[in-house]
Amino acid sequence: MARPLVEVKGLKKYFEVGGGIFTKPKIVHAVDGVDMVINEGETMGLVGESGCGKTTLGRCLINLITPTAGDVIFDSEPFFKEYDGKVKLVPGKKEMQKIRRKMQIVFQDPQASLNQRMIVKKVLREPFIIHGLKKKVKMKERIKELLELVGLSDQHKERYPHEFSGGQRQRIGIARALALNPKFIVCDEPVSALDVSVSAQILNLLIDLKEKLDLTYLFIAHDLSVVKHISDHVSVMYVGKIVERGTIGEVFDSAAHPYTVALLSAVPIPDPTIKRKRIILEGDIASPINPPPGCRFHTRCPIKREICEKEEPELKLIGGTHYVACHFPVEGSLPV
Amino acid sequence: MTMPLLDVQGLKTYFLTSVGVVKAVDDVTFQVECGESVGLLGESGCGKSVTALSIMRLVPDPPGKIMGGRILLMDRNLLDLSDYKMRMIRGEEIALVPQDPHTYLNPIMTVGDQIAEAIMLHQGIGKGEAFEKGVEMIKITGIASPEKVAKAYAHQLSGGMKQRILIAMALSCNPSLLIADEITTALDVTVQAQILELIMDLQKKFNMSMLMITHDVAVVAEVCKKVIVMYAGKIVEMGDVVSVFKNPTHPYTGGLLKSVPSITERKKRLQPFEGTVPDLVNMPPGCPLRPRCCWATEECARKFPAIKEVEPGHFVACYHPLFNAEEEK
Repeated sequence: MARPLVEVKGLKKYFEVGGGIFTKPKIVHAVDGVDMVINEGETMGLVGESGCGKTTLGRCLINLITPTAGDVIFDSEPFFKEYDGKVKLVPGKKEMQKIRRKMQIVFQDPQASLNQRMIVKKVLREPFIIHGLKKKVKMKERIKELLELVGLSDQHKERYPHEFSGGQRQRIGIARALALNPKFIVCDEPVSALDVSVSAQILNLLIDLKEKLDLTYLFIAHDLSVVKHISDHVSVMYVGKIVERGTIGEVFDSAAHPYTVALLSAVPIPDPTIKRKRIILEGDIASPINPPPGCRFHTRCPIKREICEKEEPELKLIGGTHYVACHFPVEGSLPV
Repeated sequence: MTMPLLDVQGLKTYFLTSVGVVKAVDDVTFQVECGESVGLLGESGCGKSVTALSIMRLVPDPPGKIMGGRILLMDRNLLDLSDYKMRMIRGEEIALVPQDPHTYLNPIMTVGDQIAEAIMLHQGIGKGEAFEKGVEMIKITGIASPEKVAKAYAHQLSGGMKQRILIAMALSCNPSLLIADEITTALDVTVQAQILELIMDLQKKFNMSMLMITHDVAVVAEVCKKVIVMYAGKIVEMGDVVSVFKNPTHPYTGGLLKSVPSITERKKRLQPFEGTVPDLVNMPPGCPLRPRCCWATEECARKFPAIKEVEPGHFVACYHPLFNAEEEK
């Protein structure tokens, strides 16, 4: 039995936007009650359209932002805990720093996430300085090791980020995330800014590193083909909620939520001989400021009924590890 | 044989920069038939967008310059036309739908007025009539309440809506060629599906030709009949989509297809090309793929291979096309 590394219970994150002296701020329900378990050594894919809360969820898991409600358990230790309606960080400052070493993030845009004024050597040295490990490791060797791990060479360490291509920059971002030997890495759209062949190189690198270093990933992406390629499990998110979750096989081969079915049918296939019926969802993703009542997907759902507008479906087990939040889960294809 | 709608012959667009000459498009020849949809596929920096800009004659000059070649639209060479005549062709006969809808819409004009502006210019009709025609066009692109949307400003619309407005604008004068430059790259999957479906419908309805520029192999497979694969300013392979995708003969096309994960099958491992797209400044002669290609020989360093037909309608520019290479193995 796989051991859960990250557990999330009822996680919520609301943001306040706007508002002035006389107007009330609006509340964005970015993440609205998410349960998730990520097992050690597995890759959890997280897919959804832009604005559905994938990034916010990822950032809550590694304490870059504090959630509004809910618990996060990391490595069997409670991390965020909810007391009397307030979320508190359980570990103290020093402990937190130790835990932080075990969790890292790779950002989407390697250009923006690297300091343009730092040479690579400095970028990679920074984690050790922050965590007070400067004297404990042999810095030169470690930097060399890290660069080689991500497919760069030792001579690259004297260069500035702008001297690299996009793919190489993303490799530096990955090397930085690996510096402190983390267990868990949140990959937030790590390949969406890259070209096709470069993105394939980075995906291969991430897969290799996972095996070599026993990593666990939360892989956030909007590209379903990429998620299918890299993940063991997948969660589908829609307006702050997980609507379906299961292994890759369960979700991609027998999707049960109409949103997942439509999402899968919308992905173009790189094979001109395959022609299939596409399910075109009308309209755009619902607003997280005023999420629709009942099932959040009902405004676009082709098979909605009355109950969908009133009652919110719960995430139910429908076999194996396959969960779905829908009143009328579909089997096979959508009756459109 | 009927005359192709667009015939690009030996097009060369160079950028003369302070560090050297960038041959963004180097000796590119291809045709687009009437009513045909052609995909122009390649990674960033391969010259696909510059090809489109050259056809529209919108290459920023300086530093860009069209150094040679002919672009024939029916039988007129676009490169010989005066600026005024070219302006009449843009929008009326060739229309461009740009990649990022947000930067191409004027933020201080309602979208309806912007469409009307194009119609007024090309068809010489009054503002009221043009506006109504604009509303009609917006309706064609599948927007539910066109009258309301026409009076909206760009920031009030979502990404998909803005892209629809630009499509409406491009189609408003009934062009015979539509150039779509990465129109779905900035959009979400479900919206991408909407836009692709829409553009395929409209293409049939208006019987337009389309040049679809994209880096997404899957989009080409879904939308286009013919595909042109570009690498470092050159066409390396072109032909019917099915025959190119099923039987890629250029090592680059083969590598590109092997590096794309697909939703229908689970590949064990992606097999991308090592390395990255070369720097186009002062490229040495020969095949630009040479440093990344495992079949490269001395021959490849000398001269760029001439494009030759390997199957009817399937062309490739390589000394070692893949089917030969596999036999040799």
